[in-house]
Order: sequence, then structure tokens, then C-alpha cells
Amino acid sequence: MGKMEDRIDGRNANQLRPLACSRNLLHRAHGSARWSQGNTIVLAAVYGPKAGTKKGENPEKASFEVIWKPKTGQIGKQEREYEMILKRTLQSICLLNVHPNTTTSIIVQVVGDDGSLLPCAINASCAALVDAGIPMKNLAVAISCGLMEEGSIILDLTKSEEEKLKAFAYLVFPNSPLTVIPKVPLSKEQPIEQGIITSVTRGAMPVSGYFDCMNRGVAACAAISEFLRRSLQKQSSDDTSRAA
Amino acid sequence: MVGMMIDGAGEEADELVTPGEFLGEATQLVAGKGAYVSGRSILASLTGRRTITPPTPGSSDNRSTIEVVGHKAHGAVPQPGSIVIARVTKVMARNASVDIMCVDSKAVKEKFSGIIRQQDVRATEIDKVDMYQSFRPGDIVRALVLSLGDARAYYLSTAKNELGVVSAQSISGGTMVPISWTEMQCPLTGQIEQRKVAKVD
Repeated sequence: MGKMEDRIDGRNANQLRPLACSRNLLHRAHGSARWSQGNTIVLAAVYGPKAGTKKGENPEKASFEVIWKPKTGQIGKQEREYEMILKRTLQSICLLNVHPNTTTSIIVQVVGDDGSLLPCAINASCAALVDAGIPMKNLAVAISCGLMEEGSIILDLTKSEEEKLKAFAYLVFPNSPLTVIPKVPLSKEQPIEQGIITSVTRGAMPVSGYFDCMNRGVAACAAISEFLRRSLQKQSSDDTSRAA
Repeated sequence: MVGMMIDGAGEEADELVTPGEFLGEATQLVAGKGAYVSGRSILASLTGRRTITPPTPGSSDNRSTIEVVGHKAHGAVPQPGSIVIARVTKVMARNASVDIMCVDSKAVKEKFSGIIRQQDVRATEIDKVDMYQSFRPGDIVRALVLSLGDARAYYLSTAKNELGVVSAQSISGGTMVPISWTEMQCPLTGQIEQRKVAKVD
């Protein structure tokens, strides 16, 4: 277990940086969200569904395109990889049969990068898709887990931690199952999607270390999932009261 | 069980839901807008308030419909069976190209293209249709979405009495009035032009 002094910013191993999420910021976009984890800030905008799919995409299903905008400079190999990962992640959580032969564009603008950039972008994109009213199977929540030299695991890495660590993983999980029906508990048979959506690892990580990251990540994602759900519900209730 | 669930849902009808939340059993409820069926469960696909609508009297299915409403909707997307309002952009010998402006009663946020083929203009004598005497560029037409068509456009049809040109401008610039199912007249010059006119209720 990482001690308090193990981390530069004074957090303990399981502690996440302060989370903030705001939606409906851009007027021209069909949906937008700003997600921040400490000094890592990402703005995501959703445009669509637009008519037609690109060459190579299945026209019988909805398709997605992700455009990554770095804070400064040109888009590189790393950003191209992030685009691909983000696209596949979002396609796996959206209902693709609802609007066949359409394309939804997600523009990801990096505002600040202090580590855990891809998880932050995934969380922002997910909130933006909700804001745009795109039908989704479930929400996706992402977290970064790092494996230290002595084998302990830390969550929500900063940039300096990512550079120093032996290995780290970006993990994406579906939001924790929840029922809105009172007095009806979720039975074990209900096929609410569990497991992992996306996993990206860097460095050499033993299998036991990876599974430790998974377990710690699930617990952290439950907290992020609850924050995201509260944030979405709060802003939805604000929207409906404003409309009334 | 059904009664309890519906009563419970009625109590909590104002509760906000987010995608992936369990709304009920598919054996007891029908998934409406903003909900989808996964296995035997109905889950939310949008963020909003859930509502339960009782079944219509006399319907064969006595299950209530559960929906997620009050969410921010994305732009309307044409689907087979939708009635659309479109503007004619180009007329050719075998088809007419249109830009879809409204789907059912909702305006589209993005540009969707459509094609009205010669055989889909009217229900009778489809081989004798003259596209130039049915539509002109700039006409506003009401049409039915037949299918997704190719990658470029949706296939539309005006082969019903209530479908066809609803608004058109004459060469002199006046908005023409329908005088029969195949003719429209300019109120300024009295000139008659051929169109596939939609029957207005």
C-alpha cells in the first residue's frame, strides 16, 4: 500500500484528484462536456448523428469518428492511438442499431495535461454523448492505475508519476449497475454488463499486478461512476426546471 | 409483482435515470423511447425521467410502456416509415435529389439527402412518369422514407395522395396554388405548371 509521502501531491495510493464535470458548454455542438481531474482538463464536443458513414464502416450501423486536438502543436502517433482507442470504446457503449448509416463526430480538445489524459478524455466524451442525447447501453468510466517498483498500486496518476512508474494501465469499466425500482433488488441473473470495456497498458506488468490494478480500478470506477451519475442527474434536473 | 412494480414506478416517477440503469423486466413492461431490452431486462439508454404509460384499452399486449423522457434530444434522423419535408435540389430524367429539412414534426440539425426515383413518384402508371412534370428545383415536398438507400441518400416516395409537392414557386416568383392533383397555378400570371401535388387536408 502506498504511503501518504509516496506521492508528490500528498495523496494516498487510493485517493483520486478532485473531479469536476460540466455539460452543455458549447452552443453550436449538439452535446458538450468539460471533465477535469486535477490539472488534467478535457473538453469534448459531439456533432451528429450526421448522414452517411465513411468508407469501410458498416452502413447498417451507426459509426463514430474521433478527432483529437492537442493543447499545442500537431497531432502525433500517440494522439492517433488515443483516437482509435476512444472510438472503439465509444462504439462499444453506444446502441449502434438505433441510427444506422449515420456518423457521430466527437471532437476532443485537450485543455490541460497533467497525466491520466486518456481516461479523462473517455470520461469527458461519455458525458458529452449523454448531453447530445445519443442512445447508450451504459456509461463508461475510466481510471489510470500505476504499479510502483515495490509492487504497490496507485490510482489517478499525474504526469510525473506516469514518467517514473515501472508500468501503468488505463482501465475502462461500465458504470456500476443500479436499479431505480424501489423494493426490487438486482438479481444475479440480470445481464447487466460487467467486466472491462477497454484496457491499455504501458511497461512490463506481472499478471498478479494487472489483476490488482483491475480490482483497485473497479473500486475507483464505482466512485467515479457515482460522481458522474450525480453530475448528470443534477444538470438534467436543472435543465428540466429551466424548461418548466 | 407487476402491480407492485408499476405502483413503485408511479411513486418514483420523477426519479432521474442515466444510461445502463435497470428499469424493469421485459416480461412485464415494453421498452419505449430512451429504453432498450437486454436479455430479460429493460435498461435506460438516455438520461432523463422515467415514465410508465398504461396499455391502450383493447390492445392485445397488456404490458405498460416504460420510457425515459425530458432528456435533451439529438437532431431528428430519418428512418424508414418517417414522413419528411424536403426541398428539391436537382431534377433528372430518372430521379430527383432532395435535401431533407424535417422528419415527422422535428427539424433536422444535420443535412440529410434523399432521392425520389421515377418509380416512386406515384402509385399508378409508374413507367410513364415525367420527372420534370412532377418536381422542379426549389419545390417543397412531403415524402415517405422508404429505406436507407445507398451511402449517399435515403430513398423517398411520394406515391400516396397526401404526398407530393406542398409548396412551389412559379417562374415569376409567386407561390403557386394547387388546382388539381397534377397542376398548380401562379396567382400572379395565371400560368399553369405540372406538379405531383400533395392532397392537402
